[in-house]
Amino acid sequence: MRHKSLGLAVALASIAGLAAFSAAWGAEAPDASRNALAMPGDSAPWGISLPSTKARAPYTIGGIPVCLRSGQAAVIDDVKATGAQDEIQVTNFVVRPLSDELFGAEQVRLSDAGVVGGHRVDAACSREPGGAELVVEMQKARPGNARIAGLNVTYSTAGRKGSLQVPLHLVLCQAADQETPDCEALPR
Amino acid sequence: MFSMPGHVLHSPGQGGEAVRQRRFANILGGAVVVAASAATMAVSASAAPSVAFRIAQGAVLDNGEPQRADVVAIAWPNQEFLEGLRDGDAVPMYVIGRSTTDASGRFAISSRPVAVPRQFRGEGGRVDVELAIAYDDREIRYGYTATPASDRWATASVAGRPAEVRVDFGRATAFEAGNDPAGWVDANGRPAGSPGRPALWSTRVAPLSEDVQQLLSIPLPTLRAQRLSSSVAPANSARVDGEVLRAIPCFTYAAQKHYGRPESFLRALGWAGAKATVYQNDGNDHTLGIGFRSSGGEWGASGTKTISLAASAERGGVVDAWAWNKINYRDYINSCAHTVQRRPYSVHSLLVKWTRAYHPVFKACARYTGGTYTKYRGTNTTYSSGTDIGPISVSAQSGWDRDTEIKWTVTRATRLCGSQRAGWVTSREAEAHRG
Repeated sequence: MRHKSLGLAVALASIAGLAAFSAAWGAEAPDASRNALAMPGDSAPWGISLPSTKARAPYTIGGIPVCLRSGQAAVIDDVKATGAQDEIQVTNFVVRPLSDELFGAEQVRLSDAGVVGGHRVDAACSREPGGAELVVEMQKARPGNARIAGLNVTYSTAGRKGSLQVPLHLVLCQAADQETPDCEALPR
Repeated sequence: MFSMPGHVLHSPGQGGEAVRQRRFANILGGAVVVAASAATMAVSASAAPSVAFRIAQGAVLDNGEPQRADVVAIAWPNQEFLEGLRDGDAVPMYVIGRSTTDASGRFAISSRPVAVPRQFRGEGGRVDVELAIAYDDREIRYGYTATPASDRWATASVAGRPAEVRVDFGRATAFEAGNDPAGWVDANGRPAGSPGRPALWSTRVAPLSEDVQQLLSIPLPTLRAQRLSSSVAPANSARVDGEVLRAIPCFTYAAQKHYGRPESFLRALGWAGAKATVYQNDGNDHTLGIGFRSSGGEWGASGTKTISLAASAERGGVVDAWAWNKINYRDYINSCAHTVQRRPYSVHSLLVKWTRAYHPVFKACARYTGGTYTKYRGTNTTYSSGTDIGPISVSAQSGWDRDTEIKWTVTRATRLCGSQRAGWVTSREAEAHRG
């Protein structure tokens, strides 16, 4: 009888633990198959190459459209560079409504770039204006040419976590470099 | 209803196959003999198990009203096979399936990707589909290319979605719902169509041909065997007064090639402070219009065919210009209907011609002072008259892939703008101007 009670307790504890694990997993694990956050239209890759960039200097890049495929809103929790992550780090980001004046690419701190926004996306892909603008501040750790293959945007929506892969190919070039395509110096 | 391994034949209408059998029972005098061996041979390659997806679906209307109609889906041979055909050679076709529309005018035909014989599957398993739609003693033909994905047949012209073909006999229109001619543009980027109808031509509505009558009336195994055979030998016979009468199956034969027809590939819009470079490399898909000449000699267009480029080209320093490719087309003539299809055949040459382009100024812009900005792929705009095939110009749409790029090299303050609200990154078209 004592053994039976112990066995029942272990079983119940196991079930409870499994349930807790499942709940935690459901709340925390990104669910790419039910991605609420998306890019409008075709999520085609695009490339930006900035010449004459400096190490440990902030570069702010905007014009990255994101939108909600489902749900009422999503909050972007984090943005990380993919590919050679140690070369370029994302140091800040903000989301603002789409407008005709999108942010380009400048060597400026995001907080000094005049971009006002937050981390919440509530613009649906299917309704005007069709999305919001993600603006990201990045810097490279060392001198030289640094590249990323994309951005990994993690977000929360309705108690779930998700992630969006943004196919931005970025090169922060050191200077004019004939051996590295797309790394040109700024004209004099 | 006939059922073949590897195929699911949807007939939203009740007893569609039976209806067709009754309707066309007397057309050939019932003189049809099954060429069983050919059918067996053709289908043996299709025995591998997989899931069937809709390769053809849509609606048939008459001035907007849903109609009962019959639809046949046929696969054309792949590029490699077609290139081996001499003028006059018969073109084998693979009959994918048939359907009758339901009360709302809907039809659907499914196929497993591996069920289509190898000679009819091209790069990536893509299949050039032709629909023959029969309604009220008239017919419309419509073509498109379907590519198998993990969970669907997708088309190049509608960004990976399944083909949804809308046919209206009264309005003489046939198009894919996601690529409505209302969204097509002319060489200056201005609208070149209205809902369902391009500005320059309409879909040909022809009297119901013997070819389509055979497609609808002959039992499917026999039909498949007949159409797969390149031979024109009669497959059935009957006797009248001691004479053997044979109903000769209709067939399509390859005819004249038309080399170097110009295709406007894309508009490269820049300025002196941000000149464009255009790359076009292997693997780039172009969805080009098919010309269709009725037996009465009138030309129209009847859908598209997607061909892949097997060549590369690059041109830099472009400001405002149209980039042109040259495409080879070939005529295919139907022995019964006496119709001509002028279909994209192969690539002649890339980026061989540049003409000045009107430069529209888009609104959604980002400002840059230096660097290079590259747009890799995305479904390009459909140009209503993108390809001049001789008697008419038909549509052209290039679907970019990673090996196809347009790049702006910014040397002075520039505004890079997109044709859509989200900016140049995800817009179908982009332009750079001073700013």
